[in-house]
Amino acid sequence: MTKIYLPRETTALALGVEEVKSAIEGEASIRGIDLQIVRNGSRGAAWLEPLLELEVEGKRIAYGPVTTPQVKSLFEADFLNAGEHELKLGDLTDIPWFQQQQQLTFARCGAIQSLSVDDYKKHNGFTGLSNALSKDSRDIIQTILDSGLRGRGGAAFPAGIKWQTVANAEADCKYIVCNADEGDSGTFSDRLLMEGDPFSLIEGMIIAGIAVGAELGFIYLRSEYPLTKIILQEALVKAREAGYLGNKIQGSDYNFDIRLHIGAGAYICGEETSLLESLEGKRGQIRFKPPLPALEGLHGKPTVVNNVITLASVPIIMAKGAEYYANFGQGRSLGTMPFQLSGNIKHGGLVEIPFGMTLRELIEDFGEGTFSGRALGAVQVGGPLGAYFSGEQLDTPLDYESFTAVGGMLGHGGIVVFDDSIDYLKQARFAMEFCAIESCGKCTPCRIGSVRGVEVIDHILDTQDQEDPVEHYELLKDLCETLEDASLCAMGGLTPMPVRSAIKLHQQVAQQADDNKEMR
Amino acid sequence: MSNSAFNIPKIHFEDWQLELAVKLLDSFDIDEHTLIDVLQSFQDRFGYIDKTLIPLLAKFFNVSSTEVQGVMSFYHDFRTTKPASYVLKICQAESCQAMGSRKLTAELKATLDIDFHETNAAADITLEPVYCLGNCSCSPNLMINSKIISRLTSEKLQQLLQDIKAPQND
Repeated sequence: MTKIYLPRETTALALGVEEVKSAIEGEASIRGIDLQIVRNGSRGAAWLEPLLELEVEGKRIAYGPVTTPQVKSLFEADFLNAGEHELKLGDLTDIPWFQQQQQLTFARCGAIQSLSVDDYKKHNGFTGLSNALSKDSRDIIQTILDSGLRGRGGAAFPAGIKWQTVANAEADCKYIVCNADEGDSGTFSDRLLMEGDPFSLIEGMIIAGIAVGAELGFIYLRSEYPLTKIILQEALVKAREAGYLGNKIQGSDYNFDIRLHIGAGAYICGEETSLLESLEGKRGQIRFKPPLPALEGLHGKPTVVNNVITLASVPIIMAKGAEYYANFGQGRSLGTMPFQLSGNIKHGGLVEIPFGMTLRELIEDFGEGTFSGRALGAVQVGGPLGAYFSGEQLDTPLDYESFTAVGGMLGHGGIVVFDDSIDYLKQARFAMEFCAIESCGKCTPCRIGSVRGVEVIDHILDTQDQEDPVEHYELLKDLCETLEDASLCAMGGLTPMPVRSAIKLHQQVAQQADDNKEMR
Repeated sequence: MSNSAFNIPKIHFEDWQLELAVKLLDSFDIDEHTLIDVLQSFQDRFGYIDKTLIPLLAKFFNVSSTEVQGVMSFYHDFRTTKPASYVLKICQAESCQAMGSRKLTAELKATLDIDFHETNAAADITLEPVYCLGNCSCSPNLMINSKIISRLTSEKLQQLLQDIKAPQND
């Protein structure tokens, strides 16, 4: 019986994969063909979704992007035996998009049946856990420290140090909290991972629990991901049935379980202390640090708060060793990073590569330019609190230190491309507006400064043809300094990053226009 | 997909009944569930949080009514009025902006003749903003009753609004 892989994943769903599935089943039944449809996750190439794969003579053959009206012709072309068709992509490993990647964290995503424990195990799943079970806590933490793994949520704090702090804390109870409140525009790596390879997150959380001495974990998932919620619920049930969650994990002396908590639509809850408040059922207002959540976190207990990708990278590190992982990347940015190409981009999706490639290479080699076909304008890197880049800045290597050096940040790896129709002032205004909408309200500069920021930029937008805006730019500069210096968390503290960079690019464009006028 | 009709099922929220709410509240365990869990559960069932529920929640969690309202107003998801049977959330964040969401949003507001957080005159669509649906490689996006429609264009938007009006969705 032929096995067909069709993703059960949000992007594929939005592009009609369920309709394609029904059409395939309908056509197969008319022709009396017996099929087995396996639901996998996405391979990350959103521009090929819905991507259909088959197993023919032990090899995976892909077709995509498949639409319902094309299903009949696929059968006519005998696609079940790898027949020729305009949608045929062949072996995915022959396609440059996949060839040029180094998939460590996402190696299984799309390859396996998302919700099969057996398939997960066949693809090295739970190998990291069994290694962890044979080690003591100190050795596990040392492996994570040696791997160089840093928090992939955006702050890039060394994961091993966080774990060590929690492990060393004396307490009757500790927690593992997975931050799955992926709110940055242009990011979806957490979602792809949870939908396509949920057991790797579960495995990472169990290992974290063993390392620090926690018996309960929480996944804080944003409410905007309804399909992810269903998949995680099913995965947790299966992991429990297979003895990977609950008491005496795999016959060991360790107990660990995970509860799924759904957010209620607040961007700020991606900030770890706000997330903890929200998990406790309160307003997601951020907390002062110290105390660090590693010492006094959820319900005042020592708590590891890690992003999905951080935790899901733990199994491969424990399976293949710290050195294997640390051999990828450069400088203090070790391992791989799943970058997400989005916005006005021809080939959007997730690309996992070692740190070090330049932003331009990523956009040109993988993204193949803008979706609109117009010239590239600017790129916002690292979410709504990240900077806008253009021109020479695009040659910056993608690693944490290089981006800090040019006044930006990699954040959670979101790359939003704009074509040359970008209106920089509007983008600067939006950065302030977003801060005003999503501020938790604790710090005055963030709560009120952002509102004043919108007003100042509105004034510049309204009067730019009549008066010299220099005074208003001074005011905006002043506001940005206040937000940066006097806010407790990254929301207020980093909002100036997109504002300043967008204003700078706006002024460059205006200057160029003036120069051109004079030349004429 | 773009050629076929959008088949979006309506959401049916139950009418608010205080007596039922009292019974439902009994099924929660204060050691297991937080105020947010309970609010979410009620909103899933009734579509919004009725103001008569607030004192009950305050008593249940041993907090003041103000604290309950404080939690409700903090989170964008919680509503205080019943929405229409189609809740349409259009993404306002950067990736979708880069693909023309500002223009599409203006068109949507003009066609429905409403602003965000309002319900149209025909009482079938409630419009809400959303900041990222995590489908940014296929922007612009909107979500209607948990279904995402990606690569949104003016034509797709008009088709969607037409399909909602079609009688087969009743």
